[in-house]
Amino acid sequence: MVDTTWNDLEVASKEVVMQAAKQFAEVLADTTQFHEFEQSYFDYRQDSEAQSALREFQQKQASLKALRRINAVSEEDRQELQRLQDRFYSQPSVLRNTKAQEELVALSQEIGDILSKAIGLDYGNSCNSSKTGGCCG
Amino acid sequence: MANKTQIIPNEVDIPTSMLEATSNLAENLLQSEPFLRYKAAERKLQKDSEAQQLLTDLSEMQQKIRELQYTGVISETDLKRLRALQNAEGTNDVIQEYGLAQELAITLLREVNQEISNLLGIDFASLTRRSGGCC
Repeated sequence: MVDTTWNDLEVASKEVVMQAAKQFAEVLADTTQFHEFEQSYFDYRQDSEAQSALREFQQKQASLKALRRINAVSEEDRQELQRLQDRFYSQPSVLRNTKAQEELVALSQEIGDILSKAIGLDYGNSCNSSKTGGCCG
Repeated sequence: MANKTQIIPNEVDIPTSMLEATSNLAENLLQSEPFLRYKAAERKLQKDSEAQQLLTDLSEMQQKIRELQYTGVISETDLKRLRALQNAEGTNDVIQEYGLAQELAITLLREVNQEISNLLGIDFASLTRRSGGCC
């Protein structure tokens, strides 16, 4: 059982691991990608035009809910819903936040890959609470 | 501030400080008790030819049963063989220790992710997942 005995001095305590996790989060929170993600989300929430475009789209969507369920939405309503959706997604603050989100995801995926390779476990899938084990359970 | 970022493949600039924090987190995880136990169990499993054979046989048998479910009738002999292999897996100390050690390592990893996510205000693990990468 040589494999399972290790020097206590070389073992990282849980506190030390959590401290490393905290430091990791602080560094990530200080990246340009995370700053831009937060700022663009804040700006989007403050953007009255984007919020109004969102409300109009959601109201139209809600008004068609019953008709959608029985697949009876008219072509006119379908086009109007599409127009409102396009209007929302073309708002500058929405576009900016979407782009920021994509860039944060790209950074996180790269970091996740590095971490997974180093520890020999798939980070993203191991931390997926809907799964019990590693990838694909 | 020169040399602050390092270009790595896949078009994402990862700041050096981020790479260092990632490496530091990985090193600490690998030095934690659950991971030391997991890596030891993994080495032991890799070296154990009997356990390896058992896992291969079980995997092949499960595959065969899955195929038969769609294409034909599963014989009593096949089912008995499957149960025998499952029993052998359940009582194999090396395989069981590997499974348990992996679970404990994953538990710690989830706690680490919880800590990171609480500080960021967003689930970090979900940001790292690549769609279509798994299953």
